[in-house]
Amino acid sequence: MKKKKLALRLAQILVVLVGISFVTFLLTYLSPGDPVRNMYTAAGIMPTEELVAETREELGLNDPLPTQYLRWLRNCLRGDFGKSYTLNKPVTELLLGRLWPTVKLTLLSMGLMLLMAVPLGMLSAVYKDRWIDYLVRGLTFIGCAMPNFWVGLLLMLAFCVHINAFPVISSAGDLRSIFLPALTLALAMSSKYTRQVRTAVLEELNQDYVVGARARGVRESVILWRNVFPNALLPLITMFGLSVGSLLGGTSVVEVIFSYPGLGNLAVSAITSSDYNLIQGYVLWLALIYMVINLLVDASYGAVDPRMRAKEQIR
Amino acid sequence: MKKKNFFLAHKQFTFFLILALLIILGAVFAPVVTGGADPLKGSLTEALEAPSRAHIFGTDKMGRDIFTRVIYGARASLSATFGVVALIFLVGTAAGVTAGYFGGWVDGVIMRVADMMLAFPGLVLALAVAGIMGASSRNAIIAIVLVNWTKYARLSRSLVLKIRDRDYVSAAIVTGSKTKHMLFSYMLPNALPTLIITATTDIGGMMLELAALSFLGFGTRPPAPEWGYMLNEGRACMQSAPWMMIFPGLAIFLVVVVFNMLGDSVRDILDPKEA
Amino acid sequence: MLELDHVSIAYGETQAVENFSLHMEPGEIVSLVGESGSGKTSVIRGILGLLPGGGAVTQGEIVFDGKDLLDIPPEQWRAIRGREISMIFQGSGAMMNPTRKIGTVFAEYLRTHEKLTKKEAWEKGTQMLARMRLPSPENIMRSYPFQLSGGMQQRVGIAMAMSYEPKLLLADEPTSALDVTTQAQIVGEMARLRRDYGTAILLVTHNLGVAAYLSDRILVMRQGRIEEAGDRDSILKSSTNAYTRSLLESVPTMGGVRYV
Repeated sequence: MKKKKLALRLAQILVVLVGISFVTFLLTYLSPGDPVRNMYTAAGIMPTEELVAETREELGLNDPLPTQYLRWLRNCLRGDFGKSYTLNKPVTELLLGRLWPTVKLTLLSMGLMLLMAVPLGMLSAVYKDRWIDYLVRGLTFIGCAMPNFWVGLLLMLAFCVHINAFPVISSAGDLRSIFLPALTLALAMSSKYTRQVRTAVLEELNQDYVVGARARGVRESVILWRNVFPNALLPLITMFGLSVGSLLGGTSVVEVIFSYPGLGNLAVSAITSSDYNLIQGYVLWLALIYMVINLLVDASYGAVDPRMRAKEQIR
Repeated sequence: MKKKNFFLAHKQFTFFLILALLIILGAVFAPVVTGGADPLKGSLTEALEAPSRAHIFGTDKMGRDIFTRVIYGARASLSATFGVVALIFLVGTAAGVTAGYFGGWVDGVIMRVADMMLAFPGLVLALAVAGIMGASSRNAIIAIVLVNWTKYARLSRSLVLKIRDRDYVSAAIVTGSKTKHMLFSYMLPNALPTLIITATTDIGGMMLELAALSFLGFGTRPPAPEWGYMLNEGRACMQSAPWMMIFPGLAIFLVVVVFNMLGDSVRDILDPKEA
Repeated sequence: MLELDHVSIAYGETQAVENFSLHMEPGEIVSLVGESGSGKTSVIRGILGLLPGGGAVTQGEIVFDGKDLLDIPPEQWRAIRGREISMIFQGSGAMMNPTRKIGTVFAEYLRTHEKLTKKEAWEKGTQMLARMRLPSPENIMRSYPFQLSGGMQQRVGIAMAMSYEPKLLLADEPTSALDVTTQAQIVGEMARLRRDYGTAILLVTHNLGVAAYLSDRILVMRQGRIEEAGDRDSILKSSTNAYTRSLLESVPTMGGVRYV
């Protein structure tokens, strides 16, 4: 039974992936700029009309759309996303090189975010309608209205220019240079998550089992950390899956601000220089990563909530 | 008399509505607010001046007055944001109501497309679309609409499905009401309040997304004043002229706060149980 | 043993219970009957200090074994709740964390009151279930609450509540969610508790049949006040109170015979 479900899910993913690849391909196909000219301009050559026509033929850009798409897709499946016009290297190699820094940044910012959002959200829920709750809610409200790139710039202004505690340009891979970008992302995310933690914990605190545990004399701390908190994680996991998308987009903005050598920064420069192969590769990769993460999130439900597990067994 | 009571009964709403209107009026009457200064012209002899009485927000590296540019920038930011919200509202609702009402393959196609759009990380796709189609505020709007309409489609579809199964709708179908009539007199009015709440609370978020795009240089083209891009310019001169990035950021922040609060109070009025 | 003296309970502005007095002796079974909203649940929740959001005892005294329950520190509360006074609910299953096994919940409870290792607590829980004559206690310990039937959940709840042989058992509609056969089983079990352990029971129910079977005394509540109080027979057989009579008449009959 379970295998069938998995197969169905994989088939769905495949369909969506084909759709994604088509949309991605279409994006660049329909774009107004001429990739060949861009390619030469980037290399510092002013191409003649003949050269342009020749190169177009060579790259197969004159073929009909389906042919071009299928050829491109076949190459993609072999892991070949073509060459970057501007950097003159295979796209896969470029993306792979930038993947780890971005993953590192994402993980660190998630960690920092949890360090802020979980205690604040719990506090806010446990002391609902007390001053600390109002304070936390006020802070999250402010946090939600701040553009994350502005937060990044302000942090930079404070820590790099005035205190000189961190390098302005985070090109080196050490912890000091990754800290500010991660903090920026974490601050931006934590407002949303703090609210979510608060709502989820409040919801759990209203459950009957909390009254039951109190009636049995169980310590409040045990109720909170061993029962309410783990149960409140479930909606948070769902939310995490959904927000990975905005996180991946958010990293690109922050990476640009701090000149951090990650995927997003690469993508932004690829977009500005109309490096289509690189853009296609990037979008496709991120869509794939996003889908894999959401698949894992789905799968983790059963592990977290026995009720889900039971339902699956019945099916 | 009744109107007055409504505004008095919802003080929070009234307060933020007035603030929002003031912001909009400020943008519309920008020439009056700035005393006729030109947002595009500056004199290089006055470049990078710190805030003073002559230039209360200081000047940028071209010597343009930042206060004037921030006020004029509201035009670009507000119109783009309202455009985006109106478009996602219209496109999403139309798609969702159609899918929910007709069901079957129409529903299947629309919702699969929506699924697909959801599989792209939002801002990433918007970046790609805006970047590939070329930097302009129109393209930035299209990019953001493309990414965000699905939320409204899902919402209005589920609302319509919920309503469709109610007795009075079945009764209307049995008595032979026309499709168009059904859609406009039953489905839409019922789904509308929830959708309006979502739209008002989305204004702030959309403004932030647009600002992010133009910050990266994929929105309004310079030299037209726009907050996101002004921040980008400010970033380059952060050490020598921090006011260049502080004031546009503050403007975004304040406007988003006002519209978020307005959205919250609209929700409180239309849907009291959620508060 | 338990003394409620002119107790009033309010949720914000709304008065839920007014001027409620009750005296209970060890081993006594008292029923609080009334329609939903009559304030009966507020009374027993108030005794354990577990009134839901915004509820508070605004007047009166609640004294248990010489301790003023309205004025004791949290540390002492823990020693009373689940040990000297236990509570069972309408759905005991819902009163346990749905994401944890019954055994885990049980062990957590026992370890609150005794210094036990997890393993010891688990064993003690199993023994307790066996002592309360539940079938295959090991299986029950390993199950999640939702995997058991309503009646079984209720019996587990009672077994848990009896772990420390409390002097007082508060029962909040313990049979209302069950079918008739299971109801009879649970009622029988509660009657046995008093016989075997001398447990006093304060039972809240809207089911006069259950109250009639178990109680020594019955308190009829209406709109937060005691409408009538007395021993079982005087309430059931010779009440002159119009409200009590109407409650009695609403009890369904079987074959023309009313069993209360």
